[in-house]
This record gives sequence, structure tokens and C-alpha cells, in this order.
Amino acid sequence: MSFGTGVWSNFSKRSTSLTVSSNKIKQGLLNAGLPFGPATLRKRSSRIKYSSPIGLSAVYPMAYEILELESSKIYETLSRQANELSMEQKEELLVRAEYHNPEVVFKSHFQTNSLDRTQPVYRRYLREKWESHDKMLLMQRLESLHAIPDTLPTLDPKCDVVLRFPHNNVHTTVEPGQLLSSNVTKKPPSLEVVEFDPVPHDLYTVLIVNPDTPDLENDTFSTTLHWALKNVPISSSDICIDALKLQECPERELVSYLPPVPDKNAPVNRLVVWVFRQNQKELADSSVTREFFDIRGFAARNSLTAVGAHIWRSGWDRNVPNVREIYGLPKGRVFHRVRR
Amino acid sequence: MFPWSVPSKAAAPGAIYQSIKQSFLTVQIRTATKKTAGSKTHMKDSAGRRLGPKKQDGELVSIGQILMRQRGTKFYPGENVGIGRDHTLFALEPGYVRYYLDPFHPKRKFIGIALHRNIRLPLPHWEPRVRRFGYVEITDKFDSDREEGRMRRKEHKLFPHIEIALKKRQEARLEKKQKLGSQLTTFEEFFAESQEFIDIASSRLVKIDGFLRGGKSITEARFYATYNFRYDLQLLLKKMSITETQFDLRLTQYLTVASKVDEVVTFDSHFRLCKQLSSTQKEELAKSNLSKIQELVRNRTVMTRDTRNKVETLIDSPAFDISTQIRLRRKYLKPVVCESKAVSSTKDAVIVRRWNDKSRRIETISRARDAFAPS
Repeated sequence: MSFGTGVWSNFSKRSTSLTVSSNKIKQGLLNAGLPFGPATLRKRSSRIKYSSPIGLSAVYPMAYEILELESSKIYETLSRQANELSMEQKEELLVRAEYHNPEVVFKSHFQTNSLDRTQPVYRRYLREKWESHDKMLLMQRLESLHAIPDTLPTLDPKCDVVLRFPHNNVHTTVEPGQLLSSNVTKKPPSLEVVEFDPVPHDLYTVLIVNPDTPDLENDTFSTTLHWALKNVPISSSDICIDALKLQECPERELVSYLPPVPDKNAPVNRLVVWVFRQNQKELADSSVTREFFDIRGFAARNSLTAVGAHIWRSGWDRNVPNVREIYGLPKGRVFHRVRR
Repeated sequence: MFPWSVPSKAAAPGAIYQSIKQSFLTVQIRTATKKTAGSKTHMKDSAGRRLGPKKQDGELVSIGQILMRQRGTKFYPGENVGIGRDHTLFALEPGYVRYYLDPFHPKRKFIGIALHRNIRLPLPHWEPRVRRFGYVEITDKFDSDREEGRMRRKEHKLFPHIEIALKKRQEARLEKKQKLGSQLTTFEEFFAESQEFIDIASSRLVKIDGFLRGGKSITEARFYATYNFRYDLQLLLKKMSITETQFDLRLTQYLTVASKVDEVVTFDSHFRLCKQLSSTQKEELAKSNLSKIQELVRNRTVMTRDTRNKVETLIDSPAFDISTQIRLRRKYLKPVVCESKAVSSTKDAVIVRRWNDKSRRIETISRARDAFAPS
């Protein structure tokens, strides 16, 4: 009944990303019935065969009207109390205003890759999706591989970190804990840091540490710093930390990339990627050494907050000597197969 | 009179017993039973399994030594201790046995191995683990080279196949480079260019082609082709295989070649080399192609082979990206013309039996032979 007349069809004060771009899908969402059958079914025969649940064509417009009315009330509250509300409260109200909008729900579930991250409601849906699987997977991998507490004591993940090696032809993302070949890791990775909180434009630090470097003098392991980036700006629209961003400003690379070059018969190396928020402060050039790197001390001294992490593993393979040669590194050690 | 009355003092001690025995001890009542001679042994237990702790707290143990034999987990495996299928606890590292309680796991008792005598278990929960490396480096050059070259059975069997596959890929890349080089020379902008130019340009195009096939966009592919070249050159400079002047020279040469090539050529949606069009040119070409297609298809109820080929060539242009091409093919190159047209009852008709979803029955329709598009 109220399709096209309420607040959800008015884009004078709302972003145009809160609507579906395809006309056919929009017709399906903003009508009592489905005039041409479900638009997402390709075959006409499938569309003809489909029958909606009984009574839905009567109930759906009524439900839409009620929810749209609630949303308009929330927008009124927002405009009336604009100065009294804090940022978190405003964010929460904006989310509630659009959470049940059928177009927003459709986009969040079926067009997740093209969501506008500047909108609070889409950030909320992205966060829910992340929390339902990827966050738990990351924490499980970090714990079972003992990345925590071997590097930092623990992690309270606030953002989704997506890792890939773009110098490669293969454009896929790395799953946390995946074993990668030395050919893949020979050049630096790129990260996408998806923040779900409405953070003001902040600067980020990225560290890649390897807690499995052999320390033969003490018959134990030490931590090596493989890559360090500082003062990298990220926003909702620009989430990539990649070669392009580093080319803009080469000083952002604190320590240049050292590829993982494990030794033969030594245990598989874990490479843990840590993403920190600098809390609006610029990181001064601190003297950072690669060997025997103390990540806890570094984070404490520069008052960094760990918000995201990722992990991959690197083992010795037949290409490691080639990578050493490319980087001009000395010949690798070979250990006895048997552990004494 | 009474059996227990004390007889006279004159009787002997044995006689007193005999007289009592005679009176009531020997009375036996035998009802209808058969008394069998049985015996109970109580031998229902097995021999002791020698369970219990085998190493005391503070004892120095080596790897594999058993610390505790138990039924179930009376003690749980702690730091550097493993557990077997019968819950036997054994050492995973050489060190000192420790019996301890861990506040993170209440109501449980642990046996752990402390690597050094002064380490107290449980280790602090938030600290990095104390680990032992344990491997010995092979210092002798001959032995280390031999160990490095050693292959497991699986790798050994696969190695020749891997080498062949690698060689094939390298040859394919070379072939592609030569093909792209020859295609480049057909563009008028590159008629006058040197062999070195074509060589660098074709190598770059091979890289871009690879990135596109992997799923990158054209801008990303171009960026990473340049990035990879610059990165490799920087590594050569760091290693001091080339001088600074050589580095600058090679880099500027590559960048000029790259910019020239990117201006002129690009790849279409089927990874073929084609002319680079500006966005306005692309729009115009798309519009003109679309109008041509519509004109070809408009007045025809029937698709001839000639028309079909023409429409295909128009669709397959660099103006359309892959999704647009698919949409156009679906719209204008249907394999069977829709049933409002070319339903005839002539001699040359084809009888088709097909399911009608609305009426939900099989219908028999005669279609003209022209309704089916030529392959």
C-alpha cells in the first residue's frame, strides 16, 4: 500500500546505495506479489513454476508499511535530537532505521561484495557475516597454531583482515593458517582492512612476524620481523593496504619485506600478520631491528591497539634456495632430519 | 538327667566330653537332600597392572619415557607431555618432571616437563611458550648438500613430471610472447619500433594476460606488471648486480615502453589483443553495434546463418565487456525463436512435443524449420 511513498523511497536525505539497482528485483521487492515471478530465477519456466507462500501477498505490504513507519519515526528522532546524541547512539539509530528495509536486506545477503561500507547498516550486516564465520575461523587458527600467545598475548578482533599475494596471477585470498609455497610469498602481500566501527580516519600499523626462527645458541626459537608498515590511512571507501598505497608514500614502509625462507628440516614457520590502530598518533621512526624482535614491547612503546590479525605458514620447498638467491641472502642451513 | 548337668567328681575329663557328645552332639537329622562337596576360591581378581607414577617430581627424563600409568586421566598431560591410547603419560621433551595444578583448568592435576630446572609450572598463561629447538645443524658441506637434495618417495616419483610441466609452461609463455610480438607489429603505432621495444612490450603483455586470466582488472594488471618489474630491478640493485645508472636506464626504458603500449593496445573480454579505445569511443562503438544488431534482427522472424554470423561478430567487439556480451547473446541469438513467430503447419514443419508449465501438460506443436537457429 505504501510502496514508493514512504521514507524508504525518499533519497533526498538518504544515500542512493540503500536501494537495489536492478529494476526487476526492485519490482519484486516493492510489490504485493511477484509480477514476473522471482527475478533471481533465470529460466522463465522456473519463474512460472514458483508459487509464493499462501497469504504472503496480503501480509507483505502491511509489514512493509509498519516497518517503514517505525523507520520514519527513528529518522524524526535523529533529526530532532541531532545535537544531544553521541556518535554511537546515532550510529545505532541509523542501523535500526534501515535494518529491516527489504532492499537493504536483499543487498546485504546477495550482493555482499558491492556493499557501501560508508553506510552504518551495511557495516552492521558485514560485521554479522564476519562474526558468524570468518572471525571464529581466524581465532581458532590463531589459537590452535599458538600464534597467541607466542607473539601477542591475545587478540580482540575489531576488523576483518583479508590477505592476498597480488604479484601472483592467482587473485584469491589466503585462508588463515594456509601453507603457502615460497614462490607465492616471495613478494609482499596486500591487505584489505574492513572496519565495522564508525572510527574517525585513523592511522594503522602492519607487522608481519615469524616466531619460529631457529636460535641455535639457546636451542630455542626467536621472533623475526619480516615487514613493517606505519601511518597507513584507511577509510570505509579505501580499505586496501597494497603496493599502490606504498608507492604514494614510500616512508610508510618502516622495514622492507623479507620473504619467508625456512631452513630444510626445521619446523614449519608461522607468519603472523598483525594490524594495529595508532589511535590518531603518528608513529615516530623508532629503531626497529629485524632479528630478536620484541613485538609486545614495540606495541606497548608506541601505544598500539591490535584490531586484526592473519596467519599463514611457510615450509621449506625446493624453490627456497631460488628465493634466497633473488634477495641476495646467504645460503640456508640444513638440519638433521632427526630431532635430538 | 539333663545333658549339661555336671557329673560326679570321680569321672575322668575325657569321659565328661564323651558323655555330653553321646547325649546331643551326634543327633543328625537327614531330610531328602543330597549334600555335595563344594568349595569357594574367591580368586576373581586379576594380577596387579603396576599402574601409578613412574617418575618422581624433579626427575630428569628423556623423550618418550613414561611418567604415569593410569586408568582414565587421574593426571592430565601438562606442558611437553603426551598421552597415549590407554591414557599413559609420556615425555615429549627432555627435562624435569613436575606435578602441578593449573588455575585455568580447575579440579585437574597435571604432570608436565619443565625444560630447565628453574622453570616453575604452570607457565604464565599469557606469556610466549618456552620451546626447545632440538635440531642439529649439518655443518659439513657435502652432507648438507646431500641432505638438501634428498627427496621423499612421493617427490622423487613426481619430480620428472614436474620438470616436464615446468618446461611446457615456459615454452607456452615463450610462444605467447612471440605471438603477441607479431600481433603488436600489425599496429601502425609500432611499425617503426625496434626489436628491443617489441621484446619488452611483448613480455609485459604476457604478464598482463596472465593477471587478467587470474581475475584482475586491466588497471590492476598493468599496475602489477610494472610493479613486478620495478621490484625485481630494485632487488638486483640491492644485490649490486647492477649499478644505479643501469637501474635508472632500464626503469625509464620500461616505463616509456609500458606507457606507449598501454595507450595503444589492450585485451578484450576473450583475452585477445585489440586496440585501446577511450571511454567515449567505447560508448559510441557499443551504441552503433547495438543499433546494427537490432536492425539485423528486427524484421526477421527467422535467423539465417549469415545473419547469425554477422550478429556474433558485432557482439564480439571490445566495446562490450563479458557480461554485456552474454546478455546480448541471450537476447539476440536464441537457439529457438519464440513461439509467437514461426509456428506453422506447412509440409516442412517439425513436430515438437514439449511441457507447458501453465497448463501443466505436454503439448504438440509444429514449428517451421526456420525457427531453429543455424548452428
